[in-house]
Amino acid sequence: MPIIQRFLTRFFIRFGLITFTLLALGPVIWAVVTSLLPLSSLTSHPIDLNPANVTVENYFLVFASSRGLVSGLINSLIIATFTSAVGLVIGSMAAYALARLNMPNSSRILMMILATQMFPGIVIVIPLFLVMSRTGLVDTHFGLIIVYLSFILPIVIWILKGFFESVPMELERAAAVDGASPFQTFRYIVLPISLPPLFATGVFAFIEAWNEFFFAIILTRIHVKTASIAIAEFSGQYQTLYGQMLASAVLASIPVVALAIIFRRFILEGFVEGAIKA
Amino acid sequence: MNSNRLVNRISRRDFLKLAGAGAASVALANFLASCAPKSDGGTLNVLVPAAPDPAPPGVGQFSLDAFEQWKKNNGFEVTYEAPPWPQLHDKMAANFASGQYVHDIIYMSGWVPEFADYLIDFADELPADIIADLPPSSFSTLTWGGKRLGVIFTLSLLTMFYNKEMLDGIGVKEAPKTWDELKGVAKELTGGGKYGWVLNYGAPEGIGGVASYWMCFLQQAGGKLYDDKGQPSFNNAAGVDSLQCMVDLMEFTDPGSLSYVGINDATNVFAAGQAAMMMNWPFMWKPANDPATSKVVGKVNAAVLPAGPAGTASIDGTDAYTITSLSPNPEGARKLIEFYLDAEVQKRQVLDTGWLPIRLSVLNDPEVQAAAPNAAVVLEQAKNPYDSYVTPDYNAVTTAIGVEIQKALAGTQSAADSIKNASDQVIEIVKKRG
Repeated sequence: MPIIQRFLTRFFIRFGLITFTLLALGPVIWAVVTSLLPLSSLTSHPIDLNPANVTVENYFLVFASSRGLVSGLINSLIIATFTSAVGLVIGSMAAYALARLNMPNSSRILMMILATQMFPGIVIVIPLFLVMSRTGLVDTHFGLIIVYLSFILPIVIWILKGFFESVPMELERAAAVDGASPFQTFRYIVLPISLPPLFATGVFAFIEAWNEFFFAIILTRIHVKTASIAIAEFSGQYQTLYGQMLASAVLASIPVVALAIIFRRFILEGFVEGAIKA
Repeated sequence: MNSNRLVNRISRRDFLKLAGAGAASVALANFLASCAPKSDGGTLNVLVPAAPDPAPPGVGQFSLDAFEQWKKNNGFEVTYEAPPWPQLHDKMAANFASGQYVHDIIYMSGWVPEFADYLIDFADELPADIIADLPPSSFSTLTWGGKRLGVIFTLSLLTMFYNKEMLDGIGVKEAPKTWDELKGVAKELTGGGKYGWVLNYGAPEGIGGVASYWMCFLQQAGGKLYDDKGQPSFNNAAGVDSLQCMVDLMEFTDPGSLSYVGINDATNVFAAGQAAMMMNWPFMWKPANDPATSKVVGKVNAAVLPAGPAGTASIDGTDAYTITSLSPNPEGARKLIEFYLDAEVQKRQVLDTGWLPIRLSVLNDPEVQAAAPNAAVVLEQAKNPYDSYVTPDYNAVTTAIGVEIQKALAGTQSAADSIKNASDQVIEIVKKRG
């Protein structure tokens, strides 16, 4: 009986995991397959999946076309890197202050930070465009970084605050006994032991900024089009270049996937520690 | 007395703080004002869709040398912004709502009434030879409040596309002349995974949505969307008959039509040889005859849409250029539009991109008619009604109607109920129009 029970338990766990993996990977696999087929195969009814038609032509075409995928990737890289870096620097200091420095009205400040996340983008986009336009920040990297920081910072602060609160107070008291100021304690004691959550949060912020589309489409024009806009431009009113669109999407997902692979240990540790300690 | 007490309570430090805050506010306001974008008068900013959608020289690959020459002769730089099509409307809405100058020229597709307050009337200033060479009816969808707020640059009416080979296969030598004939032909051609008819009914709203297609059926049935007072007038026999005609055709329609959102989805079915007939825009002639995307090359023919009790009818794609009221250089913008309408540029437009010209002289050019055999058909279609009924709330109106039509096409509601429900909703929308 226990053997059967163990077998069934394992079977259902594996079945569940395989099903989840297939569901998660299905769209990704389909995107890769689509990117390797010519438009004539994709527009056939039913879709012609003959392996003989497989081609990398779409990948060459997206680089050759004038739709600006390369400049879009560069713009996205600049914007996402700066957003996550600045977000981590400011957000970690703010989170530490809110977690440890007994600031007056800290709970109100936290609620106000959270409240900024409750406005749908469509509500603020026109006032935002107006301000950005008057300050000459439309279609600039700086402008988009500021906007992205406005919604990434609250997330960073809330995630890191939870982690900093879980750092043993004894460590900080020991630093204080040795004469460390609050900033020195933060810089030399708290930050070094917080690398996993910092990396996890940084990667999360990078992905958010990398994938963002709505504000990018309104607040950019020509020079700072991001990768997500370049990908969307393959969809027209009268013709959608599915193969090239998906080839662009595959290329645009490479930096994010690479980031996740490189920092996977930190990401896993960060979220696990956050989950246990917070 | 109280005010004196208040003044006495303000310390020198408080006073300095207030003065500092005031000075900072003034400085910030000045900074914001100085940062506001200014046009140097030498650059024209143009918002258009990206090719292969209807795009001007410099975005579309045609008349590029002439375009460079025009810029040199007129001393202008032209900056194009070509966002993805699905975001084009939202982008211009955000720009207009901000009240800031962003563009001089904007492409419009049925949105002129919606943005009429932000556009200028410049049609009267166009050269007389250009005006005389345009179909007078081309201004109808661009006229709002008695002003002609744009100019159409491509004749884009729905006509019928059909697969000659499939029709020949059942002994039909020419396109059906009436919708009843078409249903008979579609019935014979449906079977074995192939269908007599295909169209994109998946999106309710906008030009190219299911509500706009129904407007063709409505007009051929003798109906109108609005009466002379601007009130909805389609909850009648013509309204119900027109929708019933679409419903009756569903039996012989590719069932995917209910989910196809864009015309390209439906065209793909037609171009794969899986459907025999559809209504389509003139531009699609070229992709339907392109071996890279089509399996029916050389088998496609065009015809005017079948007739109903009131004859044949279509709708207008209303692809137009407009000039914004915030443009610091409307004269330069008008000159650029005149260049887009130049006969030679219009000719290259159709020969190189497939987008028909709007100028009658170019449409009748033998070289153009040879390269775009459907041009003559579109001209013939243009002799019949093709009202798109665009209004400032066109999106809301077509969404309300389109959703009800989709229910009828899916068989979940009768045509009569759909028309009644749609009419009730449009009456409410019109009340808000004021």
